[in-house]
Formats: sequence, C-alpha cells, structure tokens
Amino acid sequence: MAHVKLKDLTKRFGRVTAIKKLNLEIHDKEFFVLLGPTGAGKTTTLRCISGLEKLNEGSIYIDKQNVNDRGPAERDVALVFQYYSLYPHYTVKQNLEFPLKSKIRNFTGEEIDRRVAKAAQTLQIDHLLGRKTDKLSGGEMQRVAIGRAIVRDPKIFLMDEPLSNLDAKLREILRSELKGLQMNLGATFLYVTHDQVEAMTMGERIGVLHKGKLLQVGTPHEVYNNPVNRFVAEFVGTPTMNLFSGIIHDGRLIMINGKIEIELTQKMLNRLKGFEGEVEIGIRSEDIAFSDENGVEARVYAIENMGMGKIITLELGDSLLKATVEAHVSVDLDTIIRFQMNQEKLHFFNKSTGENLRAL
Amino acid sequence: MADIKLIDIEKYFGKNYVIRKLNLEIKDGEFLVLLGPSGCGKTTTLRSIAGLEEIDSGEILIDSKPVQKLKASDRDIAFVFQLYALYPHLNVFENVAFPLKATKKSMQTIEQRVREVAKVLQIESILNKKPSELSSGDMQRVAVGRAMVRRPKAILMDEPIGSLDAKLREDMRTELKRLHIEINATTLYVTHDQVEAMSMADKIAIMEDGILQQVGSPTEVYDHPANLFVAQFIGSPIMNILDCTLDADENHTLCFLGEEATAIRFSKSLFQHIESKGIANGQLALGVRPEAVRLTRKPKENYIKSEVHVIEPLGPYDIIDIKVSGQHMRVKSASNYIQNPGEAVWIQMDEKRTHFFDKESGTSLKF
Repeated sequence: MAHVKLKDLTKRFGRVTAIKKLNLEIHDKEFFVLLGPTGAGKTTTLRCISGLEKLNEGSIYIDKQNVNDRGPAERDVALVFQYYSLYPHYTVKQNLEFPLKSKIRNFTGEEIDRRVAKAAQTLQIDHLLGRKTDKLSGGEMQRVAIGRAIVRDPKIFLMDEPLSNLDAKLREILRSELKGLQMNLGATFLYVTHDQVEAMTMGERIGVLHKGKLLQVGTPHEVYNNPVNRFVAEFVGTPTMNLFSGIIHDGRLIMINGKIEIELTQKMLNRLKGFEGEVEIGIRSEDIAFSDENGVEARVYAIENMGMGKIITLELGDSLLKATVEAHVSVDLDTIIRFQMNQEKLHFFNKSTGENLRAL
Repeated sequence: MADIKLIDIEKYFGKNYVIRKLNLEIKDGEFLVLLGPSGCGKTTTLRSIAGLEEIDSGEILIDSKPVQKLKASDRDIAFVFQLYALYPHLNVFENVAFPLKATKKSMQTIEQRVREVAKVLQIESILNKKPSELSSGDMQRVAVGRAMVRRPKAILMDEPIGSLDAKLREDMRTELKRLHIEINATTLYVTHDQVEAMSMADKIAIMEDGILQQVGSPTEVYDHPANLFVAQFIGSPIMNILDCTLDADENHTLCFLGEEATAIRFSKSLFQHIESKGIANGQLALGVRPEAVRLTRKPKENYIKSEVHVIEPLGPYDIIDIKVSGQHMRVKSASNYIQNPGEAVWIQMDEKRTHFFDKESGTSLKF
C-alpha cells in the first residue's frame, strides 16, 4: 500500500509563496502526473513529499501516517531525476547497488544481488551491468537512473522530469516504457513535468499546477475535454486551443466582432445557466471542420503539414484560428473557405476570472 | 533574393568529417529546412554558407557566383542566431534600424524600412521598448526584423525559436511561415525539431553524420522516406519498425511478424518486388506509421491478433501501444475507443503506407 495525501500544504521561500494550501490525494498504484509551467511549484511539491524541503504549513501523509517530521531516508520514497545524477566512474551494477548499501538498510550481499538482478531484468539492462555509466547512451542512462529507484522497492516513486533532456524519439519510446513499467511493478508514481504530452500520455490522473495552486485534477480525458479554466484549456493540448471574445445575448452567441453568430441549443443554454454578456470562447482545432455551403467564410492564412495531418490557420477579421484536418485534405493558401464549429465542443470562459462557465 | 547552390562541400575538423560531399540547392524564394540530430553537420553547413566557417573543398554559389573566398560581410546574407542578440541599450526601432545605419541610407528610408518590417512582424506597438521589457517571442521577432531590414539575398536561421515555450513556438512557427510567404525571402533554417521542419519548410534536407540523407517536400519525406533514419526521424508518433518475413501463396504476399503464425496479406506484386531486390528475409524490416494501421476490437478476416499494452491519450486521438508476437507497435485510435490494457485487438496495415527496408543498409526497398 502506498497512498499519499497532501493536506493544506504551504511552502514559502522568504516572502514568496511557492505552494499555497495544496490538497491532493494520490491513490495506491496510481500514475499521477503533476503538470505545470516552470515556477508552478511542481518540483517543490515533490521535494516536500520526499522530505528534502520542510513545509511551512499543512501535513503530508504516506499510508495515513503523518510524515512531516520524518527525514528523507525514513519516508521510503525514491526520487528519480534526469539521468545525470548517476555516478560516472561507477559501473551500472555499482550504481544500482549504491542505494542498497546504506547502513540504515542493512541488506545482505545476497539480497543486494537479487534486487539488482531483478531490476536489471525488468529494465532490460542486464547486458550493461559491467559497463561504466559514462559509456552509456542517454536512454540507457535513464533506465539505470530508474533502476536505482526500483532496487529500493520504495513506497512511492517521485519522478522529476526524467525525460526532459532526451531527444524526441527516445522520449517517445521511454514514455510508453515508463508507463508499462509502472503497471508491471504495480507501483505508485508521482511524475512531475512541464510537458503536456507526457502528462496526457502517461498519467492516469493529471493535476495542473499554476503559481503554487492546484487548478484541476482529472483524467487526461477530463482535463482535455473539460478544462476548469482558460489556463488549463490553453496549457493542455496541441495546437493550443483557439480563444476569442464573444457575447452571449438572447440565446445567441456572437463572436469575432459579429462575424460568427450561432443560435445556442437548449442543452448549451442549460449548461450556461442563463449567463448573458461578454465571454471568452474556446474551441480546439479538431472541432473546426470545413464545410461546403453553410458556414463562415475565412481566408487560409497558413498551412502546416504535420505528416499525419495538417494545421490550417484561418484568418477571420483580426483573428486567427487553427483547424486540424486529415493529411489528404487539400486547401490553397489565401483562398476563401467555409468552416463550421462543433457547437457541442465550444468552451465558455468568464472574461475576467477565466473560469469555465459550463464546467461542473 | 537569390538562390544558393552547394557543390561537393566537404569540411573536416582534424581527421573527422563534419560534412561529406554535400550537394544541395536552395531555390530563389524557397524556405529550406536543414534537419538533423545534434552533431549531424547542419550548423556547420549554415555557418559555411554565411562565411563564418571555411570549407575544405567544394563550391558555394550565391546567384551562380562562387562566394567561398568572400568574407562573411561581403556575402550579403543575414544571419539570425539562436540567441536573442539584441543591443540592450537600444530600443526596438533602433535595433531593427541598426544594420541600415552603416549603409548611409537617409533617415526617411530607414524609417520607412523599419516601419515596413515592423508591420509584417507585428512589432509596431513595441518599437519604443527596450529589449529588457520584451517577451522572448517579441525579442525573436525583433531579431528577424533586424535581418530583414537589410533586404538581404538570403536569411539564415539557426534554431531561432528553439528556446521558446511550446505555445509561443507554435505561434512563431505559423507566423514565420506566413512571413515567408509574404516576403518570399530565400531562407535556410536549421533545426533538430522535425515538427518545425514539417510545418514550415517548402523543402526539407535531412542530414545525419555529415551526410545528406534525403531532400524533399514535407509530404515526400513523410510518405516516402528514403531510409530507416529518415523514416524514424520524421513524424510523431514515430514510425513503427518491426522484424518481418515475407512469403507468397498463389495470390498474395504473406507477411509474418516475428513468430506470429497468421500472416498479413498484401498484393502478390509486393513479394516479387522485394525478391527482385535480392534481400534475404532475415534482413527485412517493415515500417508503418501509427495512422496507417487499422485497429478493431473484434476479430476480422485478414487481421492479426494482438494485445493492448499501454494506452496513451493525446486529446484528439489515442495512441495504443500493442504487442504483436513479442514486438511493440504503436497505433492511432479514436479517443477512448480502447480502454483496457491487456485486452485483445486485431490489426491490419494499409499496404500503400507500409514500407520495407533493408536492415543492413537502411535503404527503403519500395522504390
């Protein structure tokens, strides 16, 4: 069992509040991703859980035990950084043995061998055991870094952007490897990243952190389809969600200086609970479709071929919006096309607070 | 603007080749992206064209004139660096105008040129600001503006948006591409990011180990990669590469993945084609992009069984990591269609979008 609970966690550095009253539960055997931009407080949260930082207020529970006063070694958590935290002059085997040789643990040589062999097998690095770590590729080093956590069989794996220094291809491979590994081990992972693709693809649940505040916790599907506010909407998903101003009046939505006018369905009006006035409208690129006769006219401003599909940037008055289409769709630059938005997929945000008006 | 031609360019540091027999043409008004991993020789190529590096052999022609003996300053080329090399004590207007100050142009001409460039780059509202007050995206625009204001023969850029955050990079990509269409400047752009290359380039030149691997439009290099390296460097999610053996019956090519007993059936001509290339079965790799694999939750004729390993939601769609006879493969699927790791699924590949490679040389066997 490894269950983590953060209650009103607050951490200040001097006058700066890095984390403000953070409440979060990570379930046993869950792959939880803490996502946010640089400076959001993700790493600080991780360091507080590991015991490397002391909190100012609040409590941290691991398996229902308050661990506030326990040191890092007593919390039984393993921290994995980027791969350069390995000892370069040691072999892979020595690097893997290192965390087990601590006096607190008092493992027999036999037990150490058994654990190292098992971790090496899990990560498929058995053939590298005799090699010095500075002779390894980036992907191999990253596996060893993870191996150093696995041998300890900790309650929780805390991972701080472990893939961020690797090239795109390797990152993609290691992403599914890591998720597969977490499932095989049946371990609890708390994974910190600024990369929304990593969060979406690996997390069972994602917590979006911004300026020390937890904005939303949900499955990738929930966070993507029902962002609680504008920040989450823009931070998750690529291309970034299109946003522009509009007005809701008399059951109609008018946006982009009157260039688009939509009669809202009753279902949509119900969700908006009678809201009238200025709003910020969001729509994802895949929810805009080209149409024949009906639809709004726009000029094709740019075409980006992404291989699998294309991103078409449309110009409408002063606004630009991005639509994604399949690779075989062909449009010409600077021509006028017509498009429609999938009304079901419109997001409405409060103009001043950024809050999603139809979120639960 | 001008065209640039590289003929048999070679460059070595000591005994090590950095560039080997490079032949490449950048046509007038073309946006060519030089793409490759770090250390592939792309930046050295760029610097050689700019005159910041000397080449050991070969010719560099700008508008058909050899320039390899000319100083950097005489090549009439503008270089946009990776770093935001702006003068901190000058405001945006003065930064953009700076390259013109030395040309003895009238104040009126300078003003007009700067305003023109500022309009295109949408930096009109910040002309009075100092670099320290600018966002990194705006700084980048100013840097591009400073290159454009001279109306050079070509613009060279070395990862100019590499250090921006994801959203800004996305916007800058679109803007830079649009900018190119409007100004039609011959542009050579260096990056390691295939998304930037695909989305902006008229043509992509892919380099690895100092050797040019393929030159083509984004569609060409994506749909018809010349070799394994290009196949896996271009595209995200990356192309699946699997071991396979081919056989044939009366009417079909039978493609076996690993130990799998069931074959995927392709047209008869495929087997004949691969056989004619003289590639033995053990040397064969199959390549297929995640979107070229059909996936279903029910058994279907001519589909092979596999098992869901990991589900990776991306928002608009999911990527499903499946296991087929001991090999991993990633497949694109509608969002939420597959929900449980471990469940059985059936797959089939689109023959037109299935590639075969010689594992030893890496060469594509399709063409």
